[in-house]
Amino acid sequence: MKEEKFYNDLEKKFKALPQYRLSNETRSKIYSAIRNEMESPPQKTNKRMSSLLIASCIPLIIGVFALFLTMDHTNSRTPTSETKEVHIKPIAQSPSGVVFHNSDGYELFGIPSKIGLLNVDWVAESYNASKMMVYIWDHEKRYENAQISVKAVHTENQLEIDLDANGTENQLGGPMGGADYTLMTSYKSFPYPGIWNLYYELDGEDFAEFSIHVKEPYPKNESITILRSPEDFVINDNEEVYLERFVSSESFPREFDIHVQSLDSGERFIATFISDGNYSTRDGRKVADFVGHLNFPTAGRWELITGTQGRIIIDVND
Amino acid sequence: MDQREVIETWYRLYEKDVTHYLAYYTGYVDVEDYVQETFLKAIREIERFRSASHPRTWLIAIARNVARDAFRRNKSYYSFLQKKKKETAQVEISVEQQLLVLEDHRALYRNILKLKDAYRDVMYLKGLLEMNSEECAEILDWSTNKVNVTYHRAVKKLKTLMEEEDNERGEVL
Repeated sequence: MKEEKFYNDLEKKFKALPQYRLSNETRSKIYSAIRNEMESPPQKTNKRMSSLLIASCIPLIIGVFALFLTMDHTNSRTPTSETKEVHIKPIAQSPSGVVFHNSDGYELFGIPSKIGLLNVDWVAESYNASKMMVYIWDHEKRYENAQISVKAVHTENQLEIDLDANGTENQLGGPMGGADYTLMTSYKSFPYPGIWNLYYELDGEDFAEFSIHVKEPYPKNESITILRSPEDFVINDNEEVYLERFVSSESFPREFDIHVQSLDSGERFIATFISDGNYSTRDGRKVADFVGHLNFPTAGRWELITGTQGRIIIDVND
Repeated sequence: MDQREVIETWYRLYEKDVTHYLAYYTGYVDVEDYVQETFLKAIREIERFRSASHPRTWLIAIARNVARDAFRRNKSYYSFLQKKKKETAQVEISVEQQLLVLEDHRALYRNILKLKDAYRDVMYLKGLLEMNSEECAEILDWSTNKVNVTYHRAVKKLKTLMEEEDNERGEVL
C-alpha cells in the first residue's frame, strides 16, 4: 500500500472511530462536583502545624504502608484522587407545565389562564428553540407594560441560566389570542437535557413557575444535524425526518443517500433525503434543509454513514 | 466572564473531547473519575493557563497527566484487567469490547496499542483529536519537529503492523 494512501485512509479511519460519551447523569454529576469545587473556599494550612503533624504521623504511615503491602489489591481500584463528595443536591421539581390552547386555537405550554409558551419542543444544545412567543394572563391588570424576566434551573445539577437572550430588558406587549399581554423574544438553548424549572418574574415579583422536560441533543456530525431528538426515535416510524446539511455553494444536491447499519445485527438499509429547497447561513456557511424517512425495523444501536464527515449513532427505542 | 463561567463553558464545550481522548488513551470506558479530575485540576490551576494556549489543548494536556498518574498509581488494577482480559476475553469496560463493534476499528485500535508509548501518544492527539503539530508539541512538551518526525515514524510502524496482521490472517484463511 502506498504510504500517502495509508496516511489518508488512516485519517478517515480515525474519524470513523466511535465516540465514547458519558451518560447525561454522569455529566451532570461531574458538573455538580465542578460547581462544588468552585464554591468551596481554598483551605489555608499552618505550615508549622502541618510539619509537626506529618512528623508525628510518620510511624503510623509506615505501619499502614506495611499493612498495605500485605493486602491483595487486585479487585480494588483506587481512583487518581478520591471522587469529590458532591454536596449539591437536586432541587425539587416545580409542577410540570401542561399543554393548553389560546383563543386562536394555538397550542401553548405552561399554566392555563396564567402563562403560556407557543410552539415548544425543547431539545438540549439546540439553536432552533430560540424564538419564543410568551402569552400572559393578568385578570387584575397589575402588570401592564411590566418587565418580564425568566430564570431556568436544572433540577439535577442546579445550573442556573437567565433564559432570555435579551436579558431582563423585555417589556410586555399588547393582548393577543385571549391573553392580556404577549411578548416575542428569544430564548437561549439549554446546555443539558433533563428537567428544568422555569421561574418567571414580572417587574421583579415572582409570577409563575413550572417545569419542562428538555430532550437529548440532536444527533449530528461535522456536516449533518438530524433534527429529531434521540428520545423520539422509535421502530417502524413513518414520520418525516428533517435534517440540516452544510453545503459548500449555492448549488447543493437535490438529494443524497444515508447508509444505515445496525451495530447489533449488521442489518442495513438506505435512507434517501430530498432537499426541500430551503437554506440558511450559519457561521458563514450555507446550511440546506433535507427531508426523508428513517424507518428503523428493530430497536437498538444504529449507525448512519454519511460520507467522510464522521459517524452518527442513534439508539432506537421499542 | 468570571472564572466560574469560564470553567463551566469549557466543560460544556470540551468535556466530550476529554472523555473521548481518555477512553482511547486509557483503553477503558470507565473514565468518569479522570474526566472529573481533569476539570477539578483545571479549576485549581487556572492561574497557570496561558491565554496564548487554546483551552482544549490545555485541558487535554491535563487529562493526559491525570491518566498517566493513574497508571503509575494503579498499576495493580490495570495489570489485573489485562490478566483477566487474557483469561476470559470478556472485560466489559474495555474500549475494544464495549465501543468497537466493527472489525476495521478493532484492527486499527489493536495495532495502535502495539506501538511504543511515544508513537501512541502522538497518534491519539493527531488522529483522534485532529490536533496540529503545534498543539501536540505543547501537550507533549516536544518541539514541533519532533512531533512531525515521531508521527511519521508512528504511521510507518502502524502500516507495517497492519500489513503483518493482514498477511497472517491471509495465511490462516
